[in-house]
Amino acid sequence: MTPLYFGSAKRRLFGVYAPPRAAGATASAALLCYPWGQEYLRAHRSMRQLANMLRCAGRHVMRFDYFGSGDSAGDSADVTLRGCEEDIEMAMEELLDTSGATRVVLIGLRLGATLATRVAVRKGKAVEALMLWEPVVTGSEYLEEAAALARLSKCASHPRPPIDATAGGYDVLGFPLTKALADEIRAVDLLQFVPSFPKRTKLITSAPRASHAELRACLDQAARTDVAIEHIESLFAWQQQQGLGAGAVPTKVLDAIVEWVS
Amino acid sequence: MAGVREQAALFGPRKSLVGIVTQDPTIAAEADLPAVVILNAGIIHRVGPHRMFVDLSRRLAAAGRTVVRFDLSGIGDSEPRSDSLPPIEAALADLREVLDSLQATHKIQRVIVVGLCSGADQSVIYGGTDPRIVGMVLIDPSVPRTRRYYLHHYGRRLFRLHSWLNFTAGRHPLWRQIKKSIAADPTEPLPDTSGDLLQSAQVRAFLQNAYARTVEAGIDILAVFTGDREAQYNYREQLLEAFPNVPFGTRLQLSYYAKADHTFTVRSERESLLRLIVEWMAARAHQRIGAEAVVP
Repeated sequence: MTPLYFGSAKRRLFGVYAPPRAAGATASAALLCYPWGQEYLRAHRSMRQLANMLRCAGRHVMRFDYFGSGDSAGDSADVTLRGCEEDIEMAMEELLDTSGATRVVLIGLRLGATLATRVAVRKGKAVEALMLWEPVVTGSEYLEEAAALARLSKCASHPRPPIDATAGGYDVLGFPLTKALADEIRAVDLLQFVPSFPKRTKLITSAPRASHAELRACLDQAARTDVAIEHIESLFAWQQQQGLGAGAVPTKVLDAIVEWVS
Repeated sequence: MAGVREQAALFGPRKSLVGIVTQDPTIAAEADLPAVVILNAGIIHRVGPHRMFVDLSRRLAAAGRTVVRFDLSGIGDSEPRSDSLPPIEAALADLREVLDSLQATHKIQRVIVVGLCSGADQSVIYGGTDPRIVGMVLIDPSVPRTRRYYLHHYGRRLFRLHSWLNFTAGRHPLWRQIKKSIAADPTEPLPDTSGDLLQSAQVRAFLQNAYARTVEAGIDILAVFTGDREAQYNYREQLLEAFPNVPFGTRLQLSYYAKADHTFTVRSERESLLRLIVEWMAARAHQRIGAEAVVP
């Protein structure tokens, strides 16, 4: 496992690259795309475990922090979806260069899945497969959830989200949801990409969300029977468990991802 | 913070501990200040709650410090240890290995440790055992309850209508305790005894010795407490009164954030904490903190 900084001088990104565990493994690679904000922090354990499992299954694996998140350069208020997509593309290039692979499997969780989809649609040839783990399907649903979380904050001195919570301009559990980021998130619509999903795409869900039913209906309507769908009951990687500040590691989900990727 | 650089690093004899070294190389060498090592807060990886350890690292680096945040073994990106040390001993061994690495690679001989929650406790236990430690920033460390704590705790409730209504309606925790002891239902979840454990004579003595060692070693301490931990402490001077035999003197600076939660979720509280830490270290830079420390 190699922790490293890559990218440009203006946009230095932190990543962790791990080669396949077994010698002589095929030059196939997987790139993990994190969620945003508190979900990133909580899902870190699961993403690390997933990377390790994929490595043991013979993949070159890389995970990285978007600009303005984790150990990457930039302030938390600098995060934009457009920037995160550029970061995914930059990380893809880094992984392809390092591993010698010609294509990558993109695996995204929550907002990371949505961003990975956009990149997969743009960079079709370089993407071998796309794994959508609990993707954000509609930006409005995501923003409503974010506002609800912000309102749940137990701090008496915490400024409450404004009435129009979807406009941004407040913190979600300690992470700034700027107006610019909220504007971008509000425009998120995964359904429009359904016809362009890579041939090899899988959707894994655990939470009961109205938007997931919409996504399934859209896949039916578009006759995308090639897209695999699986609902796995499990604890959520992206939500805090028992006040520990970190999420669960849902092994059934991780097993399903590794099995499908392999 | 134009000159601040961040570098990924692997520490320890097995290169299994992952960390980030933050410094402004142009001023760090000249400043010759003690380095700062930041420990994990619980099982959250090295960026810390709300990424606050990244912000802290950059601010301290801009002030001339070399700052290292790293993951203890088995947390974040660090591999588990290959020995079978229990968790606390493993954490202390990890910290020592990181300091050894820093001493070998960066010639770092004086260190201030920063810890929140479990990281604060690990700092207290480790501090007096390594002469390289010259300062500690403890955020919500474990402190036993005192007589004054109980006076505050029950005094406040005495004047709350809500507490009296609960009491008369049988919803007060006291009634629940009585009910439990009568029912003794084995299926009931075990109560959280972490606070009670701190009240035991053995744990008190252990912590008192650890603090006494830090004072004896001449380590400066900034101890920060939050109102979120009301079940454990509820006033600024509780650390002093919990360990009256430890001659903290001017080595200890206390701060109490009544409105902050344990991880400083609110940005203004977090900003205030980071400013306090930076200023506390800057003030001690003029006193040449730990300049007399003996290097092994």
